[in-house]
Amino acid sequence: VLVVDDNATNRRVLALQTAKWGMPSKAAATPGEALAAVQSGEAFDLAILDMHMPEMDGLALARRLRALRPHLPLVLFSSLGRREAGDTEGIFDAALSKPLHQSHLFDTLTGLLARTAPEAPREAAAPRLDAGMAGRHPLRILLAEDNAVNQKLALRILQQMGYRADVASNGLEAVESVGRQPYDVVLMDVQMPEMDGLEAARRICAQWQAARRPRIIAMTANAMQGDREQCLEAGMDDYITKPIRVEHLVEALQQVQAREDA
Amino acid sequence: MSDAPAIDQATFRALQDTAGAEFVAELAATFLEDAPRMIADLRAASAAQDAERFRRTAHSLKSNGLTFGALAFASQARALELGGLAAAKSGDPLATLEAEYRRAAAELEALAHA
Repeated sequence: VLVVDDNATNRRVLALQTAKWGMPSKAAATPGEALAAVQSGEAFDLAILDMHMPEMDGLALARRLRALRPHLPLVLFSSLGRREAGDTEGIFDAALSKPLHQSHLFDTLTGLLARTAPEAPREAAAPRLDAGMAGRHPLRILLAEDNAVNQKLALRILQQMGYRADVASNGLEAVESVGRQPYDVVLMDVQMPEMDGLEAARRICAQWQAARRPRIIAMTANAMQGDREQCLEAGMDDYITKPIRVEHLVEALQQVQAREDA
Repeated sequence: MSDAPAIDQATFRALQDTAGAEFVAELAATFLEDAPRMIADLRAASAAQDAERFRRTAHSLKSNGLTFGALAFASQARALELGGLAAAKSGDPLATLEAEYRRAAAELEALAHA
């Protein structure tokens, strides 16, 4: 929580109160100080702004903060409370009036933070990547993906699990790579230029017996009905959707057996 | 177009949590570098009546949009992917895509460096 108020007592009250609820706060005595904190990259889930401050009032500060952090919930703190918030162009998400009532503060903060809830339980939302996975379950991976963003992101996620992967940027290259050296698994984008993933899978399956070829995991952003069937019909063994979800990728990789033939 | 944020916060944060904020800033830079070229490609494919390239490029843009949580942009790209060349005939959906891209790009830039 970012608290901006020129009045030291108010700052202290807000800091103590939010600390009690387990919300660490940063107090700024001037709008300039607050802007500097935000500009320096400090992360805040919410900001409480006093309306009447020298240098720049709460509304002007709110506009500046909005420009920097479009989604930061802003709470107006003023002696007039909501009445004053009425003519602030809806820039504030809530208003608190002075003197401050603890229950009102609590309700306001929890209400706003619940609204942005997907951000709050961050750790739970994104499963931690297991850096030791590749050590326990080593795999030779070929990533067949033409799109630079998707390619980089997939490599990054794999890297965080300890894997390195070779890259093919279309289906033809993928088939060639599989012929050149043994892979345990191919992560196969479906839509690629030159030769798409479906055709590449068909060729790989036609050329090598199941035990002598890598497992093929389709990666597609289609998620349309029949999409999965199409991939499986082409001979692919598994299917995950893009954007890649770590838990799905992990699950799919865990199904891959390292080949013993090479 | 609406006043709704061009970038869905939850998606963007989850991406940062997964891949690291610094990496996501780099990834966003890659997208901002590639996307204008891909949109130009889409126009070229439309002019050349190259249905396959049109669909594939729209698909790629959609996929990248979804990665960053650029939902309106992605849904416009998806409409082009599903509609194919025919979709580009009525009105100017490519101009809409470009407008959504500009909105998404501006927010992405701000978020990536926040």
